[in-house]
Amino acid sequence: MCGIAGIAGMGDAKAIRRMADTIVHRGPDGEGYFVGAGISLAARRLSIIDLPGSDQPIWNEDRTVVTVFNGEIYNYRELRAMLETKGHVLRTAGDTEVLVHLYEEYGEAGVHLLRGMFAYAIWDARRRRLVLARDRLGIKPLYYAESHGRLVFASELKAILAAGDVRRDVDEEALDLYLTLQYVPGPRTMVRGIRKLLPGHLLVWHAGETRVTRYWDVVLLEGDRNVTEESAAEEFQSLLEETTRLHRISDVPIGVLLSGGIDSSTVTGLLARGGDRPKTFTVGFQAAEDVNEIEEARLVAGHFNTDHHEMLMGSSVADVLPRIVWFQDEPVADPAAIPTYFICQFASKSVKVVLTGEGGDEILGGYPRYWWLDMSERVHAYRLGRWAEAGMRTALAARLPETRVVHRLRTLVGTAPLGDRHLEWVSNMDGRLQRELRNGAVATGDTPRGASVLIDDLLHRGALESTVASLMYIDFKTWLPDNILMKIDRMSMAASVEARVPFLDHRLVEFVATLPHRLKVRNFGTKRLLRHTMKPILPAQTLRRRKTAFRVPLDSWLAGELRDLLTDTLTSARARTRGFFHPRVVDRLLTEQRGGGRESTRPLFNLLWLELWLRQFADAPPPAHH
Amino acid sequence: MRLLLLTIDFPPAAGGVQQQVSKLADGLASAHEISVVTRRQAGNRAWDAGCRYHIRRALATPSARVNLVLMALCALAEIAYRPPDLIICGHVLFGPLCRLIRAVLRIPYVAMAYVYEIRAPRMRRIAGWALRGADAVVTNSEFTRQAVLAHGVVPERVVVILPGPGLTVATKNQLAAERRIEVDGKILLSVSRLVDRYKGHDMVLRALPLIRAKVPEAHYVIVGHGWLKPYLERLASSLGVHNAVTFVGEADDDEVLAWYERCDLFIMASRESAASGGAEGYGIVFIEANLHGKPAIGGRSGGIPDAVLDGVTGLLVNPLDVGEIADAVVRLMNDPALASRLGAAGRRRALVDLSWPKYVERFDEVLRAAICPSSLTRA
Repeated sequence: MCGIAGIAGMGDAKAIRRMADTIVHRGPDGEGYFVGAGISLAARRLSIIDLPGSDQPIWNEDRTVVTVFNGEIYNYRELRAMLETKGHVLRTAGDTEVLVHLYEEYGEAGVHLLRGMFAYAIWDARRRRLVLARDRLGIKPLYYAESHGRLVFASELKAILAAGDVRRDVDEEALDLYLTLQYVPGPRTMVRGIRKLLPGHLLVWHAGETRVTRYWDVVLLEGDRNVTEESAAEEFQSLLEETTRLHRISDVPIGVLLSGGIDSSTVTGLLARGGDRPKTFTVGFQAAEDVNEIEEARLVAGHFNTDHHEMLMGSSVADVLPRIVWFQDEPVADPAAIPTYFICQFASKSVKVVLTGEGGDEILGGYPRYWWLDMSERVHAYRLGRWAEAGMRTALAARLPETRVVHRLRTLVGTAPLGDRHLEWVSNMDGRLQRELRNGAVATGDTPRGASVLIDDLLHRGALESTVASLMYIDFKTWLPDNILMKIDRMSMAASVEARVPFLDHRLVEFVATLPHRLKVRNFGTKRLLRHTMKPILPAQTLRRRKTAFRVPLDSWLAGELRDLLTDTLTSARARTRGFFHPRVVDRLLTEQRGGGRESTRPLFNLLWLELWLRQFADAPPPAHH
Repeated sequence: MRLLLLTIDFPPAAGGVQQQVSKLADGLASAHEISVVTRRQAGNRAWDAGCRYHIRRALATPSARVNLVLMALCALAEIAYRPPDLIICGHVLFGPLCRLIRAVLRIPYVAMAYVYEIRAPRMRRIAGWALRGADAVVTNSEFTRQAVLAHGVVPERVVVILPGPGLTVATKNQLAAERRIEVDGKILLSVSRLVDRYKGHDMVLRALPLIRAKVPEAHYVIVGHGWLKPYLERLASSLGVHNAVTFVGEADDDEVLAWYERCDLFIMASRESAASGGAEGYGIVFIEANLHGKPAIGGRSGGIPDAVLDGVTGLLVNPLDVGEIADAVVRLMNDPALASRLGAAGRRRALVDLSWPKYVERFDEVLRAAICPSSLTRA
């Protein structure tokens, strides 16, 4: 695990050092540089495997191919053996070195043999050619910018800004996407000139020309009638055990971030059954008993007799929020980032690697909206939609309060296309409010269509017949890489801890993607397959738990300890002069919130996060090493 | 001898089992009086007219269960009308009927086993009962023999006879079909219905980017049709190799022969399903490719090691290892001498060791032994 950076087309020792200095937290154990004719590479290293040997950059036998690498290759031992039988001479004992030899053997197609999480750069000195690759599901990040025929790339956006090549212009289309989704879906970022390399993609740069190609995508299959719940569970379990075993590979101690939910409990259980006594870590909130998951986690920890550690978050949220925003790198207004930040800091005192349950919801159908929207599509198929919609237009329905539940109900019975209804469901700022914020008046100006266009495009590309599969595909392409994985990567790296996500092993993902979705989502139930498989292993109480979002006491924070930060930041002259949002509407939201209106909590949190981000990223050069 | 052959799978439908059963019936017809009971299908009239034995076809309905009952009724009628000396049970689903007839009318039966139908979990009980009651069981590979033995059948009663190539005769239309092929490059060919995931097309597609890194002109041709086709098409494009893959779809015999002739090597990286019992029982297609002088790459699973002799008529690979699949393909594409040596050896084997007259001869021995048990010798 590391941070990487580089500039193709220029050897600039000063710039590359500036870039690496912004991401010291990703790799505090060591640094390495290579500056040659037309190339600068840097790596910050967090040593996990082959502690003394694998300092980067790493070269091939005749020093014509060099790599910097962020991630873990879980099948590196098999690959080393395979490469050695083909006559390659490997000098280190680690996983990084397989990348250069795979490149020698298969060119950029070598990526197809990797099992793990990765973002890497390979410089082919003979052909003066740079290859960038990002793992299939987007577990590890990779950003790039093109300017003056050069290509600047790095693990984090702030490192690219530090290179000084890119202007800090806010991409206003990205801004609209952010307001709708709370994150910016790739390949865009909030900075106009900087892009994310999409998951499952390769970038080849040569002589100022850049070519981006896809090498992997999740392909969902429906209609295999031969599959029974038993046979699927049997194969699923063997794959899950294999991936957990692979994710254990490490030369340093590892732990588990345990929330008490079914995903992290599964990881804990399989790790414990594998013979280890894992260290488990849980975070709770001192002041908010109702959203605590401490008890659930304690139950699982006791069941598997783990070495369990708990921490309670105090009242320092306001002090650390700007830091979290800085570490989060791109604006991702997910309140769950806050407890994730604290738990990673806490875990980092005892371990260097943590396993987490991220991805379980996305691959196994963990979101209730899959079921609800599927149901509503069926209702529409039977032409009941118009009746239901008429029902919602009656005087009685008009008197319902505009709460989130009612809003969702309207979404379900509405006749909008699937993509729009998906957006209405996931978005925490509806289109009307967004329009008002941006334009100052109700219903004038165009509705920002960016998100809608993006989702429609994904639906078209997925070309899937079933609603559930279509929605899962959308999540694989947006929510998973650009929110979930971004959050766990940045918050773990902020504490210099490596987070591993066993559920996102691509072999497991490919297998689960070919299962009929009736095994995942049916009759209000989510993650059926996982519950079925883990029945003999997990405590019954854990299996019965319904899906809840990572519960964070956001309302009480905004009303309490974050209140001053919120008001001061959003009403400051600095925020107002940007002209992104209409002050009157911001003030109205603040007033509503102070009056106890929970509907404005999430929109305000989005705006707060964005303003804190703009101050640190768009206004000034980001301070190196916070 | 008067024989009755009961089978669900029979031409004109395509498939390895269909080929095997019809070649058997045809061969046995020269020494015995044989009738076949099966079901109706599109185009069966023309096919039946060209056969030199009696075929009775039951009405076909959309329900497989109803079809089975109708075929069983046809079989009873056939037994009443032309009492056979022996019944060949071409599918274990006919096993219970055969076992009852054996108990009541004392007509012995020989069962044929392919693989999936006796390994599938839902078939376990019925298959075991049917196989244990048979006077002999003929399997198509050592793997299938082991699966039969797992049902508790006495080893002396289980015989392996390796089938030969299904499609053999070159036709005038084949040449015309060959001329229609417009795919360039070095061709990697798979032929099968696209209904079982274990056939491993997905793994070959995943290996294709690695293969093309070393042999840029490599092109994968998939012949066959089925519900998996849209999935495989999407998979190809997800891997960025859609331009290097041709989906031929459903092909008649002439076209299939043309592809065998045109390809550089044949591949089916079949694996064993982890849970559902699906696996390759043997793989007649490998022998067909061999017959055209082409080397075959097969997944080291199921009965494939009996169809592809590793290093002799082709190469065996770990069907779950895309690197190994790619290496085998690249090795054969980059070493034409090795490819043609394996292909030539395969052709000799297909022509000499695995000829249908030999298959029928050995099957005939089993039948005679079943009538007169003392003469049964283990093959």
